[in-house]
Amino acid sequence: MQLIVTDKQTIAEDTVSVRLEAVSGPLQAVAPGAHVTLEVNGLTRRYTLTRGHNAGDPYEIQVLRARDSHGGSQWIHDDLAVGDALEGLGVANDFPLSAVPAPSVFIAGGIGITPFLSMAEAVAAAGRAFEVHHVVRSTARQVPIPSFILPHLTTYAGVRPDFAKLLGHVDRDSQLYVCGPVEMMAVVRAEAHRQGFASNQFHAETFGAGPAATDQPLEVHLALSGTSFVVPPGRPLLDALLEQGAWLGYECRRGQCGSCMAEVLEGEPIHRDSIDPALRPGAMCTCVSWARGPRLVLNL
Amino acid sequence: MSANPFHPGELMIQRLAGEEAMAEMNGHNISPRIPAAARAFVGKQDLVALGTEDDDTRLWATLVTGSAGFASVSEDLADVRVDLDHPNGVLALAPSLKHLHASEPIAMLFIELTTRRRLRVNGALTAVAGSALAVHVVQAYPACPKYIQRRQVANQVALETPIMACGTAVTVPLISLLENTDTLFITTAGVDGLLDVSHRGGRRGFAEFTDGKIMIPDFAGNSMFNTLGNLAMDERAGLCIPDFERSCQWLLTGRGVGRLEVPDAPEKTGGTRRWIEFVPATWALLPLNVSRTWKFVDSSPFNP
Repeated sequence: MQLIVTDKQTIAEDTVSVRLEAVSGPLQAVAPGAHVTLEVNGLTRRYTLTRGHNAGDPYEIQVLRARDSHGGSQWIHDDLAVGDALEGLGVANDFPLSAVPAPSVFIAGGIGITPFLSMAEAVAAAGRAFEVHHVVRSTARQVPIPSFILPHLTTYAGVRPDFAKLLGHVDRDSQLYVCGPVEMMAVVRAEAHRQGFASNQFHAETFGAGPAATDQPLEVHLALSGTSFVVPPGRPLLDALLEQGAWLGYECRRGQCGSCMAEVLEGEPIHRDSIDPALRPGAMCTCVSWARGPRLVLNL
Repeated sequence: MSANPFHPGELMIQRLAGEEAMAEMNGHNISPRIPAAARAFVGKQDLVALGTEDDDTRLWATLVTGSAGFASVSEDLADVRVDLDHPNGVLALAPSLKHLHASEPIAMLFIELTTRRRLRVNGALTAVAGSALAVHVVQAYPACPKYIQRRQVANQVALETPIMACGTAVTVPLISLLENTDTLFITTAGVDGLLDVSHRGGRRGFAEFTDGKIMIPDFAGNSMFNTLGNLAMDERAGLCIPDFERSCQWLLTGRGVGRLEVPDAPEKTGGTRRWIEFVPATWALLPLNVSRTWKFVDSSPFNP
């Protein structure tokens, strides 16, 4: 799917929007919450579509410049220009709206607001109640919010919301949607669980599940195959395992499907996946997660 | 985008389930060779499920046991060899394996029950020499650990392994095994001439026997719908229901029909409302070729 950049605008501090159109034929319309996978300067990156939900719409993505990125967002900010072609590797929706006709609570961290712009439009059109909570580093980072959302929006600029209070106020049958850094997702999930929300009321999509600057190299031991090797920080553990001839499944490679789980025999994982922790007792998703280190023993 | 690897039956079910985009993404993981990382894994396995077609064009799924190293992947990752060890001559009597010929399609599922890892390989037999099968790989897929119950090989003698039997009527012992099973394997055929053998697992009794049919729930998976998609084009199917405690397996061949939007209790399919309705035509009860029992460790946390 060849895409052409037909517009690029700075919409907030360190944030650009990029409009994409097909070289030939109309683009496939997508449901709210869907993302497009793009080849960006040799890297594969996924971006939520903020437009493209009606037949004939162009696609639009909003991209924050990530300071510690491997170059995907930097390249979009600094090098990508109107008229450039991009290879689209597909569209998919890992973050669909629930069909349950209950109030929706959207909790966004930073650029994690993007899926909620179209999801809020869909629930508003269906006549369902909704509220949007947006945590931003500063108001300068706030992307433009459509006016129909404003009466339902609470912004937390430079402050961390009291999630216990926030969730304490919402309807008990609400559908909760969280999009933002993995740490925020984990805090909200734990609080929702504590307050008695069922796991099928909780929906999450995360980003920044990538490496952290504080990650240390890992000395990985594979108990079944008896091999050991060192993995430098920043390298997906899954890739290192496959390269070392350790077989495990993989599908989404973003911590959402649980295919690449490995049982941890020794070591302390730093979980960066977004699946329910009850589904991975004693195990970790090797595509996105890391460990305190230095030693990590996996049952592979 | 690269060529879509799915046939019309798979595409239809993907569309009906609303999962075609996810299927296409996951389709990128299908490779025409054994993934390099899986080579050592195959070399350590002692169990494989085989999907085969017999001389009467019936499909079968069969578990074959061996010692670690009985299967191996060639250096160039294009071929797999499986040595069939059958001290009791069991495999020569298995309706599913006794008449295999070169150039016939075959499916293999390597599955490690202790770690829930698996590798699916669809290909064609290049040689059937003595007790060895040589298979040329056409498609290899990684698969997720979902719905796999962990089991360990138990170093104990099998509880009275039954002798070989066959028939057409579904008997009480078979129904009783089925009602207690948490693991089975199903073989189907694609229009591309390839066979597929897939694992199905759930809580004990997840598959049900009603009105002479075996109803198997289809849980949320990798969105590819290889089994339901194949059945949409070709109803032939083979089932293998292993008895992990008695070192035997029940093989059934018949036809399968995909049922979508079935009104059911949500916990039965985890909300997918998809079922495979299998109508058995004939069956065989077969001891495992290399006698082995397993003990249950734990259920998949993903089971609905």
